[in-house]
Amino acid sequence: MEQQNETIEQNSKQSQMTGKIKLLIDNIETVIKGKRNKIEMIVSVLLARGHVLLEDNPGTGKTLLARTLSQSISTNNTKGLQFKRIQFTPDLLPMDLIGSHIFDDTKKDFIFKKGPLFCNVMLADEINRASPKVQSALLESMAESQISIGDLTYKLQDLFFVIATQNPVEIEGTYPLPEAQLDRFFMKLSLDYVDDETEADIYRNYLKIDENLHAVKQVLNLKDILELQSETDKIYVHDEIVASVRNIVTGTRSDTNILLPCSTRSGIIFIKCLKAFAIVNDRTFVIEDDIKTLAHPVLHHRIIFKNNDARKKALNSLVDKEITRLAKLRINNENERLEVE
Amino acid sequence: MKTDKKNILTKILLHLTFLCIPAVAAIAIALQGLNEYYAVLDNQWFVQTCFFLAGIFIACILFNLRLRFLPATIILIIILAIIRAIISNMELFEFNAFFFLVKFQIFSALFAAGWICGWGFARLKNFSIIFAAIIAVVAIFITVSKSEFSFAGILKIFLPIILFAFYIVYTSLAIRNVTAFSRGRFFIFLRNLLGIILLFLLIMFMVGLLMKSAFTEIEKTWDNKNQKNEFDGLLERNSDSTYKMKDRMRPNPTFGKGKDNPEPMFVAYINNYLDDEQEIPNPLYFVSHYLTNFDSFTETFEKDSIIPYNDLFQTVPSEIDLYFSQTDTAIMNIALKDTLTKIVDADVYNINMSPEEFVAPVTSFFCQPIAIENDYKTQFKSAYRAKSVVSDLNSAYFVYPSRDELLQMYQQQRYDMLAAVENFDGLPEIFYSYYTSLPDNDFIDSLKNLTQKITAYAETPVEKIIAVRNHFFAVDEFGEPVFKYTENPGIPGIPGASKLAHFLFESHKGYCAHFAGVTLFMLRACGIPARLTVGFATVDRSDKNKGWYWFYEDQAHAWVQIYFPKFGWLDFDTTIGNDDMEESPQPDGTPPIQINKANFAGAGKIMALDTVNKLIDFALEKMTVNDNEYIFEIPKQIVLDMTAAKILRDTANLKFSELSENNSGLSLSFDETLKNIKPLPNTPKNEVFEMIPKPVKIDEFRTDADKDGKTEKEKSNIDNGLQKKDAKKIPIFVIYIIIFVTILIFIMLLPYIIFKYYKYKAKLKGKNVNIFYVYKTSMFLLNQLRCERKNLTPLQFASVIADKKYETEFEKFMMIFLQFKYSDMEITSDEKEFVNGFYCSLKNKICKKHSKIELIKRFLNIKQTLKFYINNYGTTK
Repeated sequence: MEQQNETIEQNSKQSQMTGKIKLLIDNIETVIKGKRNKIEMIVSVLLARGHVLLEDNPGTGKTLLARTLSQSISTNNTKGLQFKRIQFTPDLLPMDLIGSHIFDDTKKDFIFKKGPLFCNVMLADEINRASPKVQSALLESMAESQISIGDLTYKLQDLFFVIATQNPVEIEGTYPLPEAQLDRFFMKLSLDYVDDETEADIYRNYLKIDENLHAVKQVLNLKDILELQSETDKIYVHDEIVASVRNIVTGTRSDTNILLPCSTRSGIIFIKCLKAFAIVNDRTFVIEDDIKTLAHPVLHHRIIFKNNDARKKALNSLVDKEITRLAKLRINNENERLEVE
Repeated sequence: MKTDKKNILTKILLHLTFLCIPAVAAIAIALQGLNEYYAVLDNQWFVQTCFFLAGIFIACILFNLRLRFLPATIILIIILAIIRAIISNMELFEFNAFFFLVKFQIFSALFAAGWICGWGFARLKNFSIIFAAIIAVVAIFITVSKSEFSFAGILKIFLPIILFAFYIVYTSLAIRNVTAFSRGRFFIFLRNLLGIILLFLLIMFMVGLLMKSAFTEIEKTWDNKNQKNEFDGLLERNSDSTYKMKDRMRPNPTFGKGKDNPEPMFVAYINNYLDDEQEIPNPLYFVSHYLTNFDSFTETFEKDSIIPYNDLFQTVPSEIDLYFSQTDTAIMNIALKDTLTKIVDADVYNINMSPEEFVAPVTSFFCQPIAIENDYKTQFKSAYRAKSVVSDLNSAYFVYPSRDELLQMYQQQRYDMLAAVENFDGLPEIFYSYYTSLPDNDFIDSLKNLTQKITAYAETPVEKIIAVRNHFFAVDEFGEPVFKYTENPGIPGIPGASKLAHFLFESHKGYCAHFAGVTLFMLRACGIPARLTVGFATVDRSDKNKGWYWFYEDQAHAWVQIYFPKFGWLDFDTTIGNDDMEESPQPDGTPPIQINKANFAGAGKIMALDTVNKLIDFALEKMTVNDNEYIFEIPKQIVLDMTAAKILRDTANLKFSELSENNSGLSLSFDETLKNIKPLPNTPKNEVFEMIPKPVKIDEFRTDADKDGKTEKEKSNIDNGLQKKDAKKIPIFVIYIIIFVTILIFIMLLPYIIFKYYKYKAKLKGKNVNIFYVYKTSMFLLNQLRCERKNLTPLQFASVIADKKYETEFEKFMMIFLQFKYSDMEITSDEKEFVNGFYCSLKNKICKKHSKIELIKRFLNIKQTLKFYINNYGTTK
């Protein structure tokens, strides 16, 4: 009886949570149209305690998306979530991000003036425009969740979520992020052009975009997000799914067309993202669809391919193989559930 | 490191199963072939194969484990050398040591060969090609050493070799190309291999089918060549090792009479005697064909398809029913018009002649296959009775000068008789010109001159004939005969020169073809109608059994027949007697004396049986009474008296009680009283039937029904030596077709069988359906309807393809299934209910979209089923 109550309680909690997520996504969709799956992925990264990198040609709505998301979960007042936006430029210095010690006349001492990094949600716009020095400063803080200056170490906020955008490297005046740095981003997404109908729809209502952006309300607060994040950890991942993730990761290592294969960290990140994606999709378990959807955004930017052909095919073929393996799994015994065919 | 080990292990296994075992099999076959021709090998192919197998397996495993070739092989050589030294130094028993040494050498050679093969397969890239080449070379050796050279035989050897070569090269390359062997790759590899082999076989089959006529043509030319080189006799050997008379003849450099020990062809009994006292048997030539056509370019005598006043009785004894006969009354009537003729019976018992061949004395007109007594069944294959119109003047003794006074007297008598014929004026123009026509060339001109010289003083045809004969029997000043019989007359010095001219004017040596050919032209040059005949010369060697003659392979003969108006065709042989022919190569056996002659034979069905009185109510369909044949369209009822009858099925004796109604059979009567029934040719059959005493006393009853009462015509045919080929061919052909069709049907039905299996496993009828098999069934069903999953996930497939096409709730089902599959949650009762009803709704919706015929069509598509099990991952857009 107690157990039943517990499950019911859990279920109601679950539905509450997913309701909140849905609210968030719908909220963002009022501004950004036709990119629901991308929004879902970004929210997944948020829940997986990661950071996301948006890469695409200028004018595809990267910044707009980031701004809408941050507005939906934070306000500029001190009580709510803190949102900072930094436009990266070539002459930006690490200090501009981290902050610096300045002399306080009253105390006759150097005090630490916190930079914009000390926030909950940060939009690092056009990250590849900044010099490598700045980039690495940002990325280190993203990885460690703390900042060390001199002999002092400052902890960042519990919720620290970076949305970085970048233009494709071919565009002039950029400092491309090296693969090792890219590894820190959970996902690298590209917002493709929307389909024709949505495109026309956007043109018709272009005036409303700004209007909507201003009207975007905060639908989630810090507590909600932290709760959702801890809820994400509870998602059940079946052994076969784990095996598939492992197969994909080790598959990249034995593929002769791949120069730099996936690391173990990327496997962990993959699992985290899968869990988050499951909860975003209102599930308490991970299915093979999640693997298929997330494999590319999570893994692709970590791998260095031998040639263009491999860039297009190598990862997909690994994923397809695993999908087929999972789809053909035979369930022999109802108790044991799964058994490898 | 662990995966490395595993890889090596799989590689070794692959090498052993896919390369070494086929290689060993090929070597085993090759060794088997080689053992037949090389005595050194001592015919122990199995043991030898084991040696090779040991070598190849050990080498393959060792070299796959990264062993170095040189050190390993040097160690092997040293070990072998030491063992060899030990064996050769064993002085205990010298003979055995030598024996062991030879054995050991064979062993070490084979082991080393296996060793090198194993190394090659494990290490060398192109070794398989070398190996295939070696096998092909061995096959060539085997083929060459075989004496019989048939196209089918060569195909039988080389087709598998090509297939094997192809297989070994393909497989070795495929194994080499594979670095990491996964299950899917392995499956694809097997599939490709199987597919390619099937394709190859199909192509070969098609080629064989299309080129069959060309192949047989080639085979024929080969056969001809063979005969030219090896066997130039008058007989030819059939594929079933029976003999047949050739229908062409040519004077060749050698007369291939075959072996030193000629085989007996047939045994004949001729009821012909010199005078009416029936004391001195008068043997007759047995005629097979008349070679009336002459090709002067190749000097070949051939059978002419159209001859005027055809008197050759052509029949195939094996096609006539037992005890029924075939009669050519036209031939009989023409022949009977001649004076001094009588009808002579000849019984021919076949030993090695083809059952289709018919030989009989001139001029035959009747053939009746007869049964052989059980005791002789193994010795003789078939038998028939022939009747011929024979002139009293005809005899195999006709020409040979004999010391026997009686024969001399007889010959003189005949000479006087034939001297009455002065010219051939009365003969029809076509007939006369056909049988006196001569080719037009230099040889014939000089032959004409010679003939004129010889016959200068002869006036009547007989005198001319004797003059010609005397020319061949002439002796020179030393008393030596001018013309000599030889089986190796050789060839004329000038290539392409006429062999007949060479014989007549220069060498004077030849065999029957030379003598008969030249005699024919000489007689024709005199204006005497003559023709060339091939058949068997009778040699009277029988002292014990009067009238029985044995005919051997070397008695095949060619001679001339001469036409005398009023007397008909008479045999005339100028061939100088060769002493060999007079002597029997082996003592004649016991002739199959058959005292009884069937006076009545009736074929029909048993209507009723009277076991008490041993009577049979018989429906008579066909009967022969004293060689006259009657067929009843409406079967006549006749009572058979079976008290003294022997009942036979094949060679087995039956009891009367074993007969049953509706058995068909043949009843024979040797009753003397029936002999008196002598119906005239124009007597109506009903009257003849009335003349038969009822009930008929039957002496022999042959039934061709087996125990169940079913007639087995094929069986009886085989036993009578009839239609052997047809009986063999048809059932095998039919069986192949049946097997093929069954396999085809099974393959066609396979998708449906699989579908049914999944459905059964899903337990759709019960309350606790197996959700996994519901998933499997639905996926299979949709796949068969060309909704393939391809590279989509099952959920995507459900929502994007299945639900869109059929408006089903597949996505919902899939969600439940996935939850069941991947989560730790239990399925709720609501969900369970949905799953229970899901398949039915899916089926209904699908049935709405597709017609029944369409569904059946889709389910016959095996390709779609294969797609369900084989996914080509790695080929995404």
